[in-house]
Amino acid sequence: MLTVQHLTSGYGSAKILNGVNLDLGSKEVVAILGRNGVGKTTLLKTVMGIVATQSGTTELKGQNITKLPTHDIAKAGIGYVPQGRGIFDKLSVKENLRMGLRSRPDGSDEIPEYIYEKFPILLERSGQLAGTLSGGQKQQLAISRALCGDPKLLLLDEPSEGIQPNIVQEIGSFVRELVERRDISVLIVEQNLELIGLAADRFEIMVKGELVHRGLTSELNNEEMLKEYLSV
Amino acid sequence: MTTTILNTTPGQITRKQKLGPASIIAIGIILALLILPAFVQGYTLTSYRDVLLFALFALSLDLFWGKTGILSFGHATFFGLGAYGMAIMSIHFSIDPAIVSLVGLLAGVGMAALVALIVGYFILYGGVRGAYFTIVTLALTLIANHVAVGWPSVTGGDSGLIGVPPFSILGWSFADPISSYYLALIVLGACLLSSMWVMSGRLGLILTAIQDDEIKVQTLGYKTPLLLLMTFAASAAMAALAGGLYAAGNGFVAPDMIALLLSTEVIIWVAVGGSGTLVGAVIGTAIVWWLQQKISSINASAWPIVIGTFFILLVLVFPKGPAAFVLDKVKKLRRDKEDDR
Repeated sequence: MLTVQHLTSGYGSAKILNGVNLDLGSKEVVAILGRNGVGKTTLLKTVMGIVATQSGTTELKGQNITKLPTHDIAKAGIGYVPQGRGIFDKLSVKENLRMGLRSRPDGSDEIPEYIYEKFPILLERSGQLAGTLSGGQKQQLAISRALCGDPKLLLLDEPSEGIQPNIVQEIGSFVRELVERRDISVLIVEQNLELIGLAADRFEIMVKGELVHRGLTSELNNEEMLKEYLSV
Repeated sequence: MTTTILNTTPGQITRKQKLGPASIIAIGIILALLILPAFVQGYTLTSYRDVLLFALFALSLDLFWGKTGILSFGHATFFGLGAYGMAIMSIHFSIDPAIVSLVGLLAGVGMAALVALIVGYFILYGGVRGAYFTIVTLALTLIANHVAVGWPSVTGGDSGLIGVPPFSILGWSFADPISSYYLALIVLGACLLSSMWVMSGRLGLILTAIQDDEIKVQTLGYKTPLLLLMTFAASAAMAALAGGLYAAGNGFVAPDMIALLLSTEVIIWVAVGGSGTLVGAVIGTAIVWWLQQKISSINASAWPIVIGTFFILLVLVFPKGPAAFVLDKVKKLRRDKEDDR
């Protein structure tokens, strides 16, 4: 689905990614773990074309998307949910969802039914300004908006940040459900091990802009490894 | 803040729907202006006509500034291009009188749209936003003004060009005050209602989202620079339309129609009405014009001081415009009262 090879990028002369290699299969959920500031968010932004790639390649289903502008990457089939959710506060819930329809390959302008079935609150609060939602509701809206574009690959940046535990579980099982039912692959940057345990098949650990360790989600109870790579 | 978030119930805070208060106000204003010539005639009516054209100019700025959040400090460039296009075509070329006004108007509007597309392409696609965009457009007015003053063989230099014929089309002339007033009103009404209609749809939605965060809009698959460029060009064309009709209405052009002062004034008209509302630009223009009449009749030199002071206040105290400033204060007062209870 997504193949990243020797990817380097950064801001100006500051290099953040130092050659990332990643292979994400179809219907696979991979979590990226790592301490703050190692480049996890930058990896997602580089895949999305928000941060320019300096060298290396990114391929989506065999199509080279390395040099495409952000809007074309979105249309190629990647849905992106940025850190801090990135919903549009000044638009209503429904308008936020409508904004997500643009990159649909079928050009439909209907918000998919299954989204409202999964998160009925979004239908209930359809006309309400998105800025007035709670943190968990905003996250549901942000993920739903990305799904409105019918993506093949979903990039999630810290979906658990600042939301209550039961919503974390809900989002974790929803990601799993998406993969099973809608043939979506998910790349998720996350610190919350519970969410990773619920949603991901495997994980990769990032240190200083490189992916240095990988494993199956079941190996995440290995205290020693967690200590080595993740504890501050 | 937290209390208001927790207390929201479905539908409590909603965005205005298609035929909201703004549309009703707009239609009301247009209807009221339709019967104005029953009460006002002659020269006074022609000054009302000019206010309508300035309101159209203000509307054009609000279409870009109010909807994208990016301030153009160079809108007089486009108004001036419209005015000069009309004047140069009708004075320097011997065009069939039946179509000269139309050719002049198209030339002015076309030039303005072209300049907006070219300049806008380089700065908007180059990622220039915010204050830098404002400065570039400000420089554009200065350049345009220099050209207008420094090219007397074409533009008439400092004294401008006199003898622009009244607007006419295929023998229909809009020379007398009443018909030229209605021409201005119809053009303003059509532009106002169509702008409001377009902005109530998907484009308005996307532009509001761009104000929030342009990158995030791109990640949803939108070519944001293209949308901004198209809005900028449409706004410039509308400004030129106002300028062209103004030149035809008054029979002359002068360099102060393409000058920094006019760029500043139009910002104030929009700000007074509240930017982003479209109909507010029309109301703001009328209010400022009325104030100008009152203050200038007391002391002719007082007006520049008043408008200058207002501009400083606008930047420092109420960047969203006086109307929004007062509304915010009222909201805050109400909230404080609730907190006390």
